[in-house]
Amino acid sequence: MFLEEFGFLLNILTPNNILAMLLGVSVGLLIGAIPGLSPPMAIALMIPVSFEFPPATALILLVSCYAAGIYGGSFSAILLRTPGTSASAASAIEGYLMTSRGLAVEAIKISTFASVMGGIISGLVLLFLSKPLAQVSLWFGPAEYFLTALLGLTAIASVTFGSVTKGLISGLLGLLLSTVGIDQFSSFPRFTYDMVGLESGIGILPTIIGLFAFAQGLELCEGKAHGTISGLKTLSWNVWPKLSDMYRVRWSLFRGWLCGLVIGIIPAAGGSIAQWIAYAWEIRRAKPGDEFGKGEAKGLAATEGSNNGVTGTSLIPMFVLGIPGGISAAVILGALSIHGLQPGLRLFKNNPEVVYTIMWGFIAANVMMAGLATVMARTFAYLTLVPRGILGPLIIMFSVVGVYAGSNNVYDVWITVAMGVLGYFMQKYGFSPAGVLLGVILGPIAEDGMRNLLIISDDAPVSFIMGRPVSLIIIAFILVIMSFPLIRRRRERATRMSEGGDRTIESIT
Amino acid sequence: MPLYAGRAVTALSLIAISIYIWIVAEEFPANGHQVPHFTSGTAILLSLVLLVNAFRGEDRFEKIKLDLSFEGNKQYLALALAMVYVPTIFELGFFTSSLLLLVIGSYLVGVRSLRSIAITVGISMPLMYAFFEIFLQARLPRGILI
Repeated sequence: MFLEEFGFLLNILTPNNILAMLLGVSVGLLIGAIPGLSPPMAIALMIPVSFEFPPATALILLVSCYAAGIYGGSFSAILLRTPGTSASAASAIEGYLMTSRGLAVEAIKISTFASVMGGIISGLVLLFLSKPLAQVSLWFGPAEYFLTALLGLTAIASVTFGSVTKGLISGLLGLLLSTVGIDQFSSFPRFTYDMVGLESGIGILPTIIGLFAFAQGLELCEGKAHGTISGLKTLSWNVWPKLSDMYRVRWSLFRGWLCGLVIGIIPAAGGSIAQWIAYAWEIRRAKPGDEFGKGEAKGLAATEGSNNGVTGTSLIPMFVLGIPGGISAAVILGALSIHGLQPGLRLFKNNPEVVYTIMWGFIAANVMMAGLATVMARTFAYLTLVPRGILGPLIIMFSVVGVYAGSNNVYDVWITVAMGVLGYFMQKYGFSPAGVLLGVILGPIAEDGMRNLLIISDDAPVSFIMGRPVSLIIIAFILVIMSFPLIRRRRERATRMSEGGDRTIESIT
Repeated sequence: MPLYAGRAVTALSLIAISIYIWIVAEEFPANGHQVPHFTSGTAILLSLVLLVNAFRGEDRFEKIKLDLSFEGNKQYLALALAMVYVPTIFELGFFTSSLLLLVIGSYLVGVRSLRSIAITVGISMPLMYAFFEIFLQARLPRGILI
């Protein structure tokens, strides 16, 4: 059945293809790890280089860059709480908390295993199930986009530790911030106050760098200047993951991969949504003894598995339908056209050697990523031993240069500073910077979906949604996720009551 | 000031901001007001919950402690320095102002080891130059210096 696909496996073993993978993975890891520089930028940077190669090799270079870029973002997220990409923002929660508990190397091991295996599984799905799964993308209209964004937003309630009310207010603030700028439906400026810099809106890049990286820089300036993040003076250098270490988190990995694979197929959803849904799912499955919000390996395994699980499947709608699954896929789609290849079923029929070689190349790049990542992880892990007083100003500097290099816009630098101050105080007073980020990411998808839905349903969205089975399935998921905090609270109350009961019995006896 | 008063002021401020957003959004055409109205309306309801909770917490009568020591406030010095740093990169040049940020910033927050600061600057600045200027050709801002 899959003989055709296997026939092209050996094509990837040419010196040119191996060189392309090596280059793509190295550049992707490096750029992904630097806050502000995103995988699409890494891919765009490699497009001129790809002209030197034949189409299959050129595309292998770009997809390798993409896979490694997503994983690279996790280094800085886990070790410094400064996510390199929006797809690794959720990893900054449990991953960084593990680092501050002196478990940086363990966190990197989990991240490497989850990402590499997630990428490989996603690549295999891309290779063998592209054609049938691409049909799923066609089921998604405005109603489904709106509901998918809503599904992502409901994750805020689940991933908030402490006050759920404050978490929801944070999400609403993010939603509101996403409306700033020229309204693309009416060209009317919203909340711009005649400031030119706000007309293009508040971008994801300055939001993520400000809320996480800049705010983290300020936080590191607090306390003892000579202390380190982890409190450690030395690190174990063994960052190779062992299967025995992964046994405890096996189901979390599985759930993360599954989330990534499914959400990747939906155009425009991507790793930014998948990781939050995977994280919310993981919290829902928490057992007594799990330490979510304090550095729980299961949470990290799920988020890291999901964001790389997306990478392969997000290329499915691009290859088969010409619909990019995200910004990176859109850049790769452009490169595909530049190299004279038209996406669609005809690509599979006329150029199977090119398309299947690219897919095998994507899988092989994920394997190569494991080797290169361990070398880079060692270097990056060393940053956790740098004194806080030096690391703080260094992160502030990187935040500014990262945003400026990424957008070449001075207003974005000021937005980063403002978001940094907001993120710092939100963190200090129990609000959720992650909620704001989620709101900013999902706001435009939700609003566009809702307004398109109102137009096509003739202002009767409810009856329109009720007639669409995929919408109803998403609504069912939303209701399940909404019940997470209630169930968690009930469970905590039951645990407290049973502990209280035990103490009462002890005091009587 | 007791904690409940601080929390109540926060909740009332959120309500006031939400009402303001609702009013401003009234004029947005083509259904552009819907998301701002949804966010501000829901925020008002949630802020009312915060307001009620302000008077229910067990710690509500505890005093708000203000830390005015240098140790407790040096992050604000770093923030002030960062606010000066952003315009300076366009006046002095990115590398010169970054060098000043690293040296002055580290010293301000309490690092007294000049060797550590020198090593950080010695490693980070050439790496930044090689990566951004040579590899990415990012054209970082220049002023009267680099």
